[in-house]
Amino acid sequence: MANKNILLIEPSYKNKYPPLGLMKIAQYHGPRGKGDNVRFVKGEDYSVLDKAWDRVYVTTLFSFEYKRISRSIDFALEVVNGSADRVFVGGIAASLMHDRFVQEPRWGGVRFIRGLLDSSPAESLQLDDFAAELYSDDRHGRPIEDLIPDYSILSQITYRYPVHDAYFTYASRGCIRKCSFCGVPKLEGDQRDTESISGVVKGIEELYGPKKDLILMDNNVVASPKFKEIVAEIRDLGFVPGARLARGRVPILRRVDFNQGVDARILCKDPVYLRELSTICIQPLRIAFDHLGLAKPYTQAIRYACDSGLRELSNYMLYNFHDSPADLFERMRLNVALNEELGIRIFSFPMRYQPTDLPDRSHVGERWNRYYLRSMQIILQATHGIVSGSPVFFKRAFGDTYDDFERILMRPHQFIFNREWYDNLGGKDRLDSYERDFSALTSSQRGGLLEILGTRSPHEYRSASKGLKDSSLRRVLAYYFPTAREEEIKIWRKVRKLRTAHERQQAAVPEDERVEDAGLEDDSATDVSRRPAMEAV
Amino acid sequence: MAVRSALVSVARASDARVPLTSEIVVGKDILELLSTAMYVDPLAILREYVQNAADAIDAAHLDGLLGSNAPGRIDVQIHGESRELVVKDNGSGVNVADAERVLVAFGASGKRGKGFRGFRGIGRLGGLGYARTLTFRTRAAGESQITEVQWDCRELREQLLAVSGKPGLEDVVRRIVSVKRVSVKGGEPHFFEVRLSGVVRMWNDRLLNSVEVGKYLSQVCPLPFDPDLPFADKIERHLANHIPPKRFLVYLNNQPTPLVRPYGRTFPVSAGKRDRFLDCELLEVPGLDGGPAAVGWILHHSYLGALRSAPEIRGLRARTRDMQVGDEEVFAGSFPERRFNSWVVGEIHMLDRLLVPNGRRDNFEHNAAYASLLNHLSPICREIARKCRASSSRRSRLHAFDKSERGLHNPLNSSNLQHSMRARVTRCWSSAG
Repeated sequence: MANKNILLIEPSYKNKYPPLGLMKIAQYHGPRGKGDNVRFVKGEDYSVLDKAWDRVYVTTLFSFEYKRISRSIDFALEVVNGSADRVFVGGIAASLMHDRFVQEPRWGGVRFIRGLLDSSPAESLQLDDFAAELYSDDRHGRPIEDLIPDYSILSQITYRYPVHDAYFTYASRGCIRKCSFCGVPKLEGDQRDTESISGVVKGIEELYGPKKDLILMDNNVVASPKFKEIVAEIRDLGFVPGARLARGRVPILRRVDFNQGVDARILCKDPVYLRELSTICIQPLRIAFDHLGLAKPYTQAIRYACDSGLRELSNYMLYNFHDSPADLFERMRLNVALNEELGIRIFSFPMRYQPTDLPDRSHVGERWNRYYLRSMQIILQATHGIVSGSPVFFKRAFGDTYDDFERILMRPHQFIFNREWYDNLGGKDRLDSYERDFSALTSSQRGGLLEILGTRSPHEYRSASKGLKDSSLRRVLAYYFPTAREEEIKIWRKVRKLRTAHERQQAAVPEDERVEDAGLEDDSATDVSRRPAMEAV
Repeated sequence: MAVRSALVSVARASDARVPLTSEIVVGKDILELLSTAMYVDPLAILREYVQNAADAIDAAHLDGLLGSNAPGRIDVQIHGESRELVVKDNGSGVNVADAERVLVAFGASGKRGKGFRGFRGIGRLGGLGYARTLTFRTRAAGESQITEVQWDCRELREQLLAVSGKPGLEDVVRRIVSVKRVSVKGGEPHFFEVRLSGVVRMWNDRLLNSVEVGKYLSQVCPLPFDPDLPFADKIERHLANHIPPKRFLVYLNNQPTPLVRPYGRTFPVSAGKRDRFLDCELLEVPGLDGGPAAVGWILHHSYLGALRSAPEIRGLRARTRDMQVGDEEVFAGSFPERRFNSWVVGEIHMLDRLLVPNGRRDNFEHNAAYASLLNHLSPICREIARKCRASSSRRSRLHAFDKSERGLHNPLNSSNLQHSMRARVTRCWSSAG
């Protein structure tokens, strides 16, 4: 039965890590498995249409990338000429929004796989032996989930994953917590340990050569009863502080990354956790700081980390959930204070909450508004999502107090996007004039302004202004009218060279250590509609 | 408590499965399903009879009844005045001892799995819906008796319409079928004849229209290619590796030359537009187990448009043991747009024994083998569609060029310049296509 044509598709979204599920499926079908011909494509690659495909697998990741995922599923159906029984869709979005995928009439017959492929291949892929489906007799084979990912397929595409030179594995699956904002309980269920990570690392090394880093995608490794053994195993694999991989002339530094973060509520209980983590080359140590209520355990965990010599830190900050802009600002500010006090470097990654079953990024938390979210996104876009722990950078980007922060969030978006121009260059007079007019508004007028900004798109501001009787409000609203395109291009050219300062800041955090948030550059959520044209200048 | 236990035991008893004990009823209506209700196109019954004739001739060759170089002969005769249609072959015939049982059986063919074209034992009944009487006459080699089994189709219709009583299939068949045995000396040593007498007028009387019948048989039956087709040898050589040779010829109305396939050197595309075949692409479609599931060929031409004026050759068609299955549209769904199927000339011959024509032979049983076949046809059909589109774009450009050129009034607009520019446009689009 070998020699079948198997097509693997990852939708065209930007993502940081290679598709592990597809890589394992590639191993199942490839030369060490069924002996089939495996082809991997990113997005809709029409060159595959010249072949007959016996099976097509589509992976899915972010649920808010539903449009791109839809395109890939439609494409898969085109590839097999509508023979939906050959199309299998799995991954995170397909699991979290399973019903939505299944109920789409045009995808009838496609198999949407929920969760992991952790039973026999025939069982987990729902293969029907009565219909004599390919490999439907494989009811006792090793689960695809347990196979070594096939790294060789990555060379078939031109897209480069920011993190690819790494062993990707898990020491545990699931999580002890049931946070309502998180997809893990639905995807993986309760916390449990997995098989030895050494087996996976050695398997990858044997087949595809040594990798620089060790990426552990555990959801909450410190909650594992085998935490110490896991760390010991990582040490035994050679990932100790200063470890280098001999490759080329200069050996390169290796790192371990628990990329889903570790739990401050456990770390704060005993310094031993961080002492243990300090015995491996963890870089960066990611600690989640999801709301201000966690400030105490979070601060304690940071102090323990510092005591253990872990000074390169990174953290996730959920926002747009039950928090408020003030809550987020305080959390960011706390990091600056800790940086200053302890002499460490904490880079924060604010991550905008979206319900895991929402097909776009349109969710607005009950204490946020659409305009503030757009402002936040523009600020973060300039720094690739990173909030620097440096007081100077922080103050410049977010202000010194919450009032400053809120005034920045409230500013016309062209002022935020072309910050340098309006703060220090030719646009300063206009910014000052805006500040003056804005300061003159009463609290209720500001509320009225925010109401207009939060419920309309920029191209509707002009018409909204015509209906306003309040002249001072009308005057301020005029600052928010979209700038003429030629004017923006002119500004963009002038400030372009000044962007190097930002770039220096970004360079402080290498791309592979940044947080994956593909939606950060999603313009549909920001309504900064002319951005692509400007970047093309 | 005791009552509850009893209820539970009753429930359990009713859950238990036991073998069926009642009588199996096969009603008369099954005959309707197998005759009048079976085929959409009345000509399909001719396919069934020619198919049975071809199988009988193959059997005669196997039994050494026909010389190794002597092709069998199938005669299709249409008698318009007497309203009779006859299909006769010089195959092995059915011997006297078996004839009655074999010719009155339902779905009990002994041919399944033995490499014959027919195998369900129902096609023979197709004529019941289209004539007053259906008569099978046959003689087996070495026998001196001809067996004649006659079905009274008028009586069948009355029996089917009758509302009183509920006779079973067997009762009705006994009332409408009669058998006669005739002793003969000399004459044809072995044959099988199907005679439809009193053919009903249906669909413009197609069954008795010689031209329509001829066109139909030339498309559907296993016939030799017209020697005028430039790629005939190439196709025959390709197919010869996979499908058994044709060892019979089909004659219509005693014409001196046998029927041939409808493909020639040139063909009409549409009114006033002709084209010719330029190339022949041979195909081999892999099967589920690694061997070929099907083989085929496509005759490429200039793809000037849908072949509106050549319905006998257009479409990618399916054949099993060289008999057409379905019509010209059978694979239309494999094209990115169905319309491109009517631009194509080609055939796919099924080899995999799991690719089984359905009961009506208008398509195939849907199973994994058929799904795999369709899957492998998709890229082939996409490539053809690409050729069609490229040709269409090229012609549109040339048309636009010609139109704009006509509108020019430039004194420098010499005919040589026009010619060279038109040639450049043509070359450019040819290479793009």
